[in-house]
Amino acid sequence: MKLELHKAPVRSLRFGPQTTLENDVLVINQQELQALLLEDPRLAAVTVDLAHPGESIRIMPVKDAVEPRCKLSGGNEVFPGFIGGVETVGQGATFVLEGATVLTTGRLVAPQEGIVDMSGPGAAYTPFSSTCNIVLGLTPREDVTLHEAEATCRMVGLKAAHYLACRCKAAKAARVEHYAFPPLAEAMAAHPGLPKVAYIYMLQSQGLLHDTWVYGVDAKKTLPTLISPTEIMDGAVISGNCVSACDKNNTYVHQNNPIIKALYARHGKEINFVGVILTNENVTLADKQRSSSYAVKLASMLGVTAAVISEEGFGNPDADLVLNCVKAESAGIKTVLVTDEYAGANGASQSLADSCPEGTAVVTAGNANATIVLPPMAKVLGDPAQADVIAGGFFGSLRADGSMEVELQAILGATNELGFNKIGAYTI
Amino acid sequence: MVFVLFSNNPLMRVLRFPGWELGLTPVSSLDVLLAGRNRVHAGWQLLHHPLYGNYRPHQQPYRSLLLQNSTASTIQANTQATTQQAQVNLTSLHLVEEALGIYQTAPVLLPHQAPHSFLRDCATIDLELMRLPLAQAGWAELGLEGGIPPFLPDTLLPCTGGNCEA
Repeated sequence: MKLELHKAPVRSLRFGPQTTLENDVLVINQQELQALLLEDPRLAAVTVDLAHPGESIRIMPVKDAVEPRCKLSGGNEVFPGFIGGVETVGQGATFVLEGATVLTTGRLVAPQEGIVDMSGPGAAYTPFSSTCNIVLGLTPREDVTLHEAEATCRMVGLKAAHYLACRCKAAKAARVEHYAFPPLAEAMAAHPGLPKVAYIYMLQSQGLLHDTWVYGVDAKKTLPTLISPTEIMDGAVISGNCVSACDKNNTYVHQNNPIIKALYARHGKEINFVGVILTNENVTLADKQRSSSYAVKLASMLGVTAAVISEEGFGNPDADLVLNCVKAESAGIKTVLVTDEYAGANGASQSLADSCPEGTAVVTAGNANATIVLPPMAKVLGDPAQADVIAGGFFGSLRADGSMEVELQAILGATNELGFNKIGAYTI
Repeated sequence: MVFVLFSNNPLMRVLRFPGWELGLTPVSSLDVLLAGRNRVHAGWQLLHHPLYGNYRPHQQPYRSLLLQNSTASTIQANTQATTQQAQVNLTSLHLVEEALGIYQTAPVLLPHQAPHSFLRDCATIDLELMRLPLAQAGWAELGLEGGIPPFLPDTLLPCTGGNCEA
């Protein structure tokens, strides 16, 4: 499979009479976009606002982030199972509005979701303070069920992202990235002497607001499976969760998975990157055993000598991470784990809910319990009152002056376990 | 009795679990875990992980825990599932002790400490996250035909009968 990503930069946003890309400015017909989204009968209202890096704007509670993309060629459309049909994606050419993000906001339940500050100390922790954001304020109708409301919010974000890209796809891309994923027989024979490496990609799949979708299928109802990284770039994996904001993998992060990019960057030089194995994080112990065994079985069938394993969320997913690690190491596959920590505000408590002696190579994305005071912003898109019930907040988080004290957990992407975050460490 | 469901979620009180034992504790999520641990020591096994994904004890006041009597086990949830009565399932014991280690060292949110709308959401999410283990244990969602039942926290009276193990 070969995929080209045609990336057109977006450096600013404004409303205008026609949705188009003009000199790196994404012009949006606000009424047209609103009307499109309100075609969903489950929505009572939708607002469209714009937020740029450096502005005094707070966005909360954020549900999903989506990068605008659409297909130029290759068949089907992006976000298969939702926008596109269910046919295979990941080949041909895909248009990308790089630098733009659709952020969906609205209240579903508490405690969920997250904060994006476009300036101030909070901005340093979220990658979405650096993008030009199209912020959708969503109000589902009162008579729809919670399941329907969640599905509506999820679908609206994808629809808006696809609409924006489609309207601009005639624009010339500033650069084209090329990705290839060869047939397995070819991949197995390639780069003799380099270690074969697979990526075991764990997806949240525990229930309402804790789910992920693969080609439109609820990940909790799937067995681990092989997938081309190019399919993931085309939106084959969709976030259906509004869980812990700091370490949920929103759709944008799936589209731009940095672990996949890093494996590609080392492919043919240090390693032979031979595949991505999607697996889930179900709640039942039987599912955890089944999925971990099956994922490692697939890795063994590929004959890999090492695997990178990334987690999503915390708490009982820590058990999935450990099971994947133990079983892989027992099968002779070296592992590198990517996770984050809940080690208390001072970092002195137990970081993970589970552990194992085999887990000797672990990358942390940071301590989600570290606290931060977010100063008041001139403008809030969404509902600041959610600070008291947002995951990472507490009763009393929101102060009278509009500032709030929260844990990093409340900030979207602060400790993202794919490494799509701003916290890092450098060897000096 | 094959299954026991421990919960401090008021929604669980109004649902129907034919043939199951219910241990409805009026107090804290920690009490639910302690009740579950006692059963694990008596040879029962957990059907799901005792920790939530993505909630810590101070973020979710409710917890439900579903266990199966290992001697009647047909679901081999653990590789070390026991076949002899009262033999402790070590996987279940490890998981529940690890969970208790977190609940006993972190602040635990009690239902009466949170506003009603927050409790309603938390109760709903607890139920939603229990759907899969409940379904795998054969629960056919009896009582949910009309959707999620009204949330009435006041109906969760102090437990004084034999059902309360916490």
